[in-house]
Amino acid sequence: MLCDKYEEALIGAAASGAALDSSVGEHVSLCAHCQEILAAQQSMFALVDAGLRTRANVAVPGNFGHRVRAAIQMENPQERRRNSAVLAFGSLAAAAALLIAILLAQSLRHGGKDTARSVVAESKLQGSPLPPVHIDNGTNLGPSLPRTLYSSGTVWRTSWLREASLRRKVDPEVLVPQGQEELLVKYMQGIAARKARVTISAGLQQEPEMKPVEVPSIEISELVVTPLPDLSSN
Amino acid sequence: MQELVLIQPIRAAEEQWSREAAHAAKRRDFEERLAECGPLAYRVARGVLRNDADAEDVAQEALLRAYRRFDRLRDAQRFRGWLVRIVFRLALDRARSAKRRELRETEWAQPARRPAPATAEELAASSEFQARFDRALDELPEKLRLVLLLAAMEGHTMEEVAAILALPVGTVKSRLFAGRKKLAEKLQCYVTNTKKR
Repeated sequence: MLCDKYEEALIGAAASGAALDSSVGEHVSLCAHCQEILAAQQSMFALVDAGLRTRANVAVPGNFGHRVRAAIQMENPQERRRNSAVLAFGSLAAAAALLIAILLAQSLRHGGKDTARSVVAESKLQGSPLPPVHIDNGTNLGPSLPRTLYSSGTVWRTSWLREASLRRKVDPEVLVPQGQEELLVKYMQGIAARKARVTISAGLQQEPEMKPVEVPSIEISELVVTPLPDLSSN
Repeated sequence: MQELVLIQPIRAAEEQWSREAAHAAKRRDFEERLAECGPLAYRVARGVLRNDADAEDVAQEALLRAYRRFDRLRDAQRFRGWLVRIVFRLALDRARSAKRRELRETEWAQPARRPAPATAEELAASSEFQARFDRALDELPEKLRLVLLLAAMEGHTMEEVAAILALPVGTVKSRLFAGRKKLAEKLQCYVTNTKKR
């Protein structure tokens, strides 16, 4: 029973391989029972270590590396297929999104036009002193083009809207304060006249029969070098 | 409606080329790791499973998984630890399913009685002791088992085991001590009983 208190110390020493404490060492050197326990523990741990080493240090099969490389080689096409499937799905999704965006934009443009038309109240202008006018973004402005003119309070609108919608053009609408309609017409006529001039001059420049300007050859006379007069005497 | 197709042939070719170059670089890099850590993966799997074919399958599966996720590994120095953890986890899963299968099969078979070994050497070499040792090892907690296996591999110092498992050296030492002690306790009962017989 006296030896029981040394048992843990003996197991610890056998497990770690460390030297025994001086007091334990003294006891073991005198006690045959403890010497037997220590020897048994040491052989047990040797057995454990041998078992572990046997399990941990097995020979690796010679073809193991080749086998893994072959598996990786087979993995690459699969991975590429996976990647290409993801890419294909992504591009399909992008194309679908683009298509939806285009359709949405078109439907919005048509819807917007209809709303603009409905907002403007139309009533026939009775006995207007103004001549009929056609406003087409300031390009086709003139007394001969329009057929009718509609007015509702301060809002003016010309009949070109209906024709323009048929031609699928952008249809601008102009809001004018009451009584200033004539001023606007004159202003727009002025802009139109200026634009027409620009168009004519641009057209002239693009005339195909126009001959290129001939530049006469330049004659360069011989260079004569004359010495400067000596001014040092003055 | 008119169909629109967006084609950028030069860019697509460039992307394909850069993808393939990256792939080749990844493979080269991984093959270097494979030569270095392949045996370690196999031995860890074999230490848990104690079967060559199963160990080879598990180690290969672990290496393939590591290859698939190789891009995600930020620190290349930690590849060994990362691989060891994958192998160990896969091997444990395989061992559990094998154990379930074995239990089903051995319910119908009676173990054969053999004479007890006379000496310690005979005892260590006996298949009964081996089986007992394997069972005792399997019963250990996973964290102790992995430390015992790695520390028992040739050429592995405590510091290396600590680096592989990303643990302090002191923790590795204490786990190793505890693992060996538990194994010895489990085997002590068997050795004592054998000697009494």
